[in-house]
Amino acid sequence: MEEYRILRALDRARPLFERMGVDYPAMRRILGLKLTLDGRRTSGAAALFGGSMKSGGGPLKPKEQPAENAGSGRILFFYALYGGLSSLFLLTGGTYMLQAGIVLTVLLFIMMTAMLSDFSSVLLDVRDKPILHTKPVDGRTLGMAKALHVLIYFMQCVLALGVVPVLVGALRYGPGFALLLLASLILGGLLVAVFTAFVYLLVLKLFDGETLKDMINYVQIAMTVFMLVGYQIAIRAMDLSRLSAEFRPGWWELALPPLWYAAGFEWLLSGRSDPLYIAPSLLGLILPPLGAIVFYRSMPMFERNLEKLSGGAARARRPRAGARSRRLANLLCRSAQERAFYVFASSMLSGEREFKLKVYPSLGFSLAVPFIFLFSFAVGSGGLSGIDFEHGAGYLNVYSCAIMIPTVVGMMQYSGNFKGSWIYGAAPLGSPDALYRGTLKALFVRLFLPLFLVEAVVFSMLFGIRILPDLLAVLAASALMLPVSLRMTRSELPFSLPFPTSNSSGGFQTILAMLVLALLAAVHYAIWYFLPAYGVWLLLALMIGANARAWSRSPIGNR
Amino acid sequence: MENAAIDEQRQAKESVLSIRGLRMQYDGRYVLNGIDLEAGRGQVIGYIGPNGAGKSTTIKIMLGLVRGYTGEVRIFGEDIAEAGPQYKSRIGYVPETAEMYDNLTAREYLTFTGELYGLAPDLAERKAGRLMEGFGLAHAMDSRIASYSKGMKQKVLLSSSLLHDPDLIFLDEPLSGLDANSVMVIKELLELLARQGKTIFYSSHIMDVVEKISSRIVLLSGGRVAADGSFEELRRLGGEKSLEELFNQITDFHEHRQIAERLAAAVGER
Repeated sequence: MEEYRILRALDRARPLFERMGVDYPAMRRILGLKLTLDGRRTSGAAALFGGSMKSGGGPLKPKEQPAENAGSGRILFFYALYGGLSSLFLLTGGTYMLQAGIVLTVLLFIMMTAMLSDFSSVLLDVRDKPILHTKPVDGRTLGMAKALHVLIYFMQCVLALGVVPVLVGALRYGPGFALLLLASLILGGLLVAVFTAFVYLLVLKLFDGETLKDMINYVQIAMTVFMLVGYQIAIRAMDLSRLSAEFRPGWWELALPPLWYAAGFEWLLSGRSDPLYIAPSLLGLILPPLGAIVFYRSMPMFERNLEKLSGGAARARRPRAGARSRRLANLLCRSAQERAFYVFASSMLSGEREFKLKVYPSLGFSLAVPFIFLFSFAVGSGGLSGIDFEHGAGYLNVYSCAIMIPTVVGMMQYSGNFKGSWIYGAAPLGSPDALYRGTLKALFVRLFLPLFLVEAVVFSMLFGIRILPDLLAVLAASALMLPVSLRMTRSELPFSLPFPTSNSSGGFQTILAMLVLALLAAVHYAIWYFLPAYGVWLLLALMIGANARAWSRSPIGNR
Repeated sequence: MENAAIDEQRQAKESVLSIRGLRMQYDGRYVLNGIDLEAGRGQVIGYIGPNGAGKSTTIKIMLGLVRGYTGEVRIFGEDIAEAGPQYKSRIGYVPETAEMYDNLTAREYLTFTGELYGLAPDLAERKAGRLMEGFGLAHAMDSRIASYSKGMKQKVLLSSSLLHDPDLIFLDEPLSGLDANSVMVIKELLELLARQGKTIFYSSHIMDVVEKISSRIVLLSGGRVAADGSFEELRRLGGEKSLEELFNQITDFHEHRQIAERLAAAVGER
């Protein structure tokens, strides 16, 4: 275990802790261990940027030995980056209320999602009970260790997010502004933390542990999508802030906590002693500590409900989803084994949290990509009105949503339960072809098709139903991408490998896939240009033929 | 009538499993050092031996999960090195570690494994339901296996190994995590299945159970078969002892006292 600077800083306060009746050496050990564990945790942000660590329990297998400290360091770096991006709003001008309001809204929102997703592993650590509570360490020491751990985690987050905006604020508006911003971030962060804790408490009290785990999973996914897509939107939203320099809040807008703190800027820095500004500022000052005290009081209840997380209060799943994928399997697959694998893969795809965490962000991204491309090209040629919706070929940007396919095909070989793959060997399977085909079809139907349908509907609304045959051709081309990607990625048997600690190889395949897609789109464009009448039907027939060939051959070649 | 009787006799003689000169090496070290073994219909074979004696490896070789062995392994009369995977459809297997795709529900997992062994999905699901009901787990059919206790998982694995009515059943530590009542159920079940003519090949460290339910005991030590016979035969061989004592004697292990003393000394160190 490595030595942490923060612990050495704590050593100075040792007499204080001992006067409070805390067993200091024991607390220091526990904290050190927790910090080491934090360094090896996965999070939404870290999963996105490749430094993902295996989350949750389970002994470390030798392969999964994590690179030291890659986890939390990376997360903090990206928090700082987002803080930096948001500090651009401080340069736009306008009232304090508006600038501080926007910056605080963005930062507190990021903090909120971060808390909901990452905070869980700190606050909801069920391993504490069997490991720590069985040792002769008294409750006060454990409580203090947990509180300090949460505090350290929280301060890291606040400081990483706040460092750039505070510096920018100090340079532009002086140290008063910077100090107020820092204080707002700390108080607002505390408010967010308390709010998160109460959300956990409520969910745990009303539902079971599985629901909470699912909820956390979806928040993690939402956060990663937000980070991927958010900055695209943020850049386009910059204009908004110039619109209303003389912004005066209505009381309803003061229902939003970030604006409470923004009101404080008006009150203290612009000297507007209006109750409209004073009341929310005081609210923001008093509520977080008050909430923290209330939560501290309800801690025993929280710990009791925490039991639900480790205990298996089994929740039944609807068997109807199974019946639907069974019908689809009968429709799409020829052999019985292929059907079995289709149904199996369908339920694996919807059931595995870690898989969702790694794959769904790229789904969200590829949902947005066609529109980003469409509008980027449009901006190049004179704004949205420059798009020729009636006759143009702008809809060919739909091709880019198939960009997710190689990623997903590459990911299908991983599973948290990869050891369960002994069943492939024990069962009488001839060749793995059926296994691959069934899984690829499940990937296509469960992950790609819903996304494509959304794109198809929106693009048909934009460009008219004249593009339907083109969309069919794109769909066929995307289906072709599956076996092609499988050959490119040389994926192992589905769900048979542990999730990698770092996915270093994915980038190349994504670029290759982009090239292939660009090529397909170019061919499609050429056909549209030279053979506008019937060319697309020719292309569609060609694609279907290519599909028939690619799918009937062994999907893995002669490996 | 007579024909049927002859037929039954012939079947009883048919070798379900036959291993000759099986050797297997990992990293230059022989784990299996020439194993010879025959098994017929209706036998319950307790396959015992110290940790690392090669029990699981033998079972995995017979299932085709491990390759690179030398010697001959015939199952249902077929050499598995040459046969296709079809012989596996008559085998049921419970692995040593209870690893499953446990984010599936028991219904999903069991239907899937049943289909892999060639059952129609409806039949697989129906049988899975009956087996789970028999194990007292009907209520958990639609819950994720991840939320099960260890004993419940073991019952799911046992169900998945029996779903396709196999003729040869490999059970690697089938009783781990089961409570005393469930152990009794399993013991009775194995006896009934053996009476139907199924061959059960089963490894365990719990000597009492092996002693009681095995019609034959095979003891593996140092990659060889060190003893083979019914419990009575083994007792005649080594004196009137319990299987545990026989186990110690045959595997040549007498230092348990010294080792325990060393450990106790380490515990008391200050």
